[in-house]
Amino acid sequence: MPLPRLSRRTFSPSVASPHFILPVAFPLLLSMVSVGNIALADQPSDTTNSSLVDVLNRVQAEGVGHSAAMKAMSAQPTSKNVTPSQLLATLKAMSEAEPRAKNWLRLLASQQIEAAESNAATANQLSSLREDLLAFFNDRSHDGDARYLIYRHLVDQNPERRETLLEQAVDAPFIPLRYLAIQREMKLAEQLEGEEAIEAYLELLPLARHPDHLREITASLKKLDRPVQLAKQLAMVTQWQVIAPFGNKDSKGFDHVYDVETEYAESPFDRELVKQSFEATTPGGDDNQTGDGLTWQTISTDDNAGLVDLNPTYDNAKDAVAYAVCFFELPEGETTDAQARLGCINANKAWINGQPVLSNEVYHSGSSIDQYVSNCQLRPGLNSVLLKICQNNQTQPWAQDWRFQFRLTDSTGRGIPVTVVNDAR
Amino acid sequence: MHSSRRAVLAGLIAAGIGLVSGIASQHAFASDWLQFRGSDTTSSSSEITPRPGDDSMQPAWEVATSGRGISSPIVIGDSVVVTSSGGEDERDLYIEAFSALDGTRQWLRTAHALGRPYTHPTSANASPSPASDGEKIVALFSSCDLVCLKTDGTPLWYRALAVDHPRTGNDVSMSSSPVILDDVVAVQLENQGDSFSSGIDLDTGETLWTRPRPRRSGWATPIAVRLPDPAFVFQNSDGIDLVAARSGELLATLDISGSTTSSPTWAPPLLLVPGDGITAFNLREPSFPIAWENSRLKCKSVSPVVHNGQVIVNQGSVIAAADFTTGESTWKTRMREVKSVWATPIATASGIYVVDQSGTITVVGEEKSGTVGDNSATDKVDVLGTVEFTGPMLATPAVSDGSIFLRSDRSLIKLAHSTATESKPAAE
Repeated sequence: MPLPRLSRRTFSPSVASPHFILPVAFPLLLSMVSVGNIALADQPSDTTNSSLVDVLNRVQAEGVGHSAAMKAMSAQPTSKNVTPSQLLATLKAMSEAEPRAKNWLRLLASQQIEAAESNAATANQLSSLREDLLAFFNDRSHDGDARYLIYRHLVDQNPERRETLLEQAVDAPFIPLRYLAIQREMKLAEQLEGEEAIEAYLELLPLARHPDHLREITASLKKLDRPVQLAKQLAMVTQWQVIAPFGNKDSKGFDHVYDVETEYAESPFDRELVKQSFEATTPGGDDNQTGDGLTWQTISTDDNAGLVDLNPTYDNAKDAVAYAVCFFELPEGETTDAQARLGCINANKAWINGQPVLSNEVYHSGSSIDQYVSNCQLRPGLNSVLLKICQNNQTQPWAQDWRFQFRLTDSTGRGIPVTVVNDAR
Repeated sequence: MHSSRRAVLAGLIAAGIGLVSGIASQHAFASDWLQFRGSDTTSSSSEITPRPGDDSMQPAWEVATSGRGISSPIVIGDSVVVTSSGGEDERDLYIEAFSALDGTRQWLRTAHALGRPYTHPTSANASPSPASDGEKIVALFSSCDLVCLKTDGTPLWYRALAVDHPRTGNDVSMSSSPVILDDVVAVQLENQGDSFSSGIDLDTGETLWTRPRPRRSGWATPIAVRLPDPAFVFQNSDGIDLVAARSGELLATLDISGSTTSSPTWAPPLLLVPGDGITAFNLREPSFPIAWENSRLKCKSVSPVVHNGQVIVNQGSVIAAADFTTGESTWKTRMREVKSVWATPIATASGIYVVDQSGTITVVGEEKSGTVGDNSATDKVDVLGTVEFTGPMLATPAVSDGSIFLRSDRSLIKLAHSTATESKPAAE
């Protein structure tokens, strides 16, 4: 049955609610003034369009809040009345915007930036506008997304600017920009030979964040006879204690809470977990069937990208669930605000220090390093991760993989090199 | 087979099917190509378009798009609108309009993917094709970000559908395109997580209704029909759902296993459902009876074309046809240069254009055999010629005003009858 139809709110000035009038009135007034006198309407360059952001930040799921948001957006200058200061105010407003609201502002800013350029009546005005934009870009205190939008525009207008804009961005805190800068440096390194090339790649190694870049850099170093292990650079966790196969008939094992999960959730730092055996109770049609007692096995991987393949150990089991646990020490001084990053072509769940962080019931539908990312909280000293990796019974050749790759990073994607302290049985 | 004169006449009749369907918006012009497979989903145009051997198969212009994409271009008045994606993990989303006349960019709008941007390498985040009612444009991405703009590029609203539905996504790609009917945007987001279809108010961007869909991967695009009341058709291997456009009420279910990749085609009164061959349902009769079935019309990954009173399907290196009214097979032709096809062919008065993934275009049409002036001369459907462009090319082309708009991985190309040619550098 269809879900209940949501109430629809449409734009009607006569029925605008009180809390809506105030945020909208100010930019509306400005835009009206600007028609008559651009100079008067030009806001000081240090103002932000915070009233618009307030309205956009109130947009919620299913389009709730759109009526007010659309009204506020329609009050913004978008053509002949766009001044450089108004454009900069929109860009500055991005720092206060929630992700959803930021896209409304991106769309607006990308229109205003075109309008501001076209409104520049003289070459000097155009040059001045671009200098303002460049100054905004060069100020790292500004919002990364706003700076990135300017970067895209400046390069779009003049592709030769790309070199100068990116050459200082290899350590940019805004990762999409750093991504492009690293990409550029890698192309430059390709032109080098011998020790010069090695030196260039080694300099990039600690700066690169994207797994594809790290893969390319380590591959290039290998060709130059200076092998660097990709899995180590990514800080992949390569040693696990694994117990399997638990039942997953009709994919019901994904939601079935096996005793492993219960025990782990109760005592997430108890390394004795891996000394226990568990019954392979099968959910679904054979609820009461009790299988053999399962015990933990040590699985280490020397795969270049840290892939842990479960099939060799468990004989390509089907309708099967595997649990993999790892206890580890966080390096001293390392951030505790981390991200759990899992690549897995099977249905999966993950817990960090007993807290659930990932849950994806998707089978054989693409996989990559860092496919699933979730913020998580680590602590100084001992930590733990539990993974649940579910295999179904698809028979197609491309649906046989049962494997995963896992790492912990900081918020920029820098791998956290944890020290595994698993007790092998 | 059929004579060229008859073909042109039948092409005009076929074009009439689109008019009869009444799907085209009041804001649209006859030459507009407003969505994936054209304004009426038949992939058919009555226009005379460039053919191999003409100088006009050389690009009138080629422009770089701001990013990669496999989405089809659409044509609204004098604008060609195309989406693309780029940057880290293709999270940068681009919607841009180019002048159909000379390829000059009219505007560019940018957004950032808030849903999962990952796809198979041959696909792209810019995988679904945009759609328009002639006044507004909706652009959907594989990451389930949905943008609505006026045709002049003014932003109207934005929806982060994967934020509203965090378990919605497919890392192969979400390629189903949005469709518009009577100010309702329909999306079909089928995947193994939160699988659903939705009707979204075109004017406000608010959700009108949401219906759960089977939790399986699906790439078929919904279509808009009039029964005569406005409705959307959602197809997958479980069957066909006909849903009232504005209320979301389930009107009927057709018990047939449809394709999860190829999309249905609406050529009133028949709904052509690709699956194990093609099944044609008559939606203008009570209880929607099956008009015909033809198990030999296998569509592989592309969708059925209706043109000149025929149903045409592309099966890899083979293109085959059947009579639209009876479903009886009529002709079949092998195309040597065709290896892998993801784009649905387009059919015009000049031929059927098959786009190979490599970028090679094969044009199939009627060729006279025998001596000119010989009354015994017959027409044979055969390959008229091929033209190579730089691929990969997975997007279904658009046709407007006698021109064909091709979309490669990183560029937009116009083929036109004009003798003036202008080539712009492709993107790096």
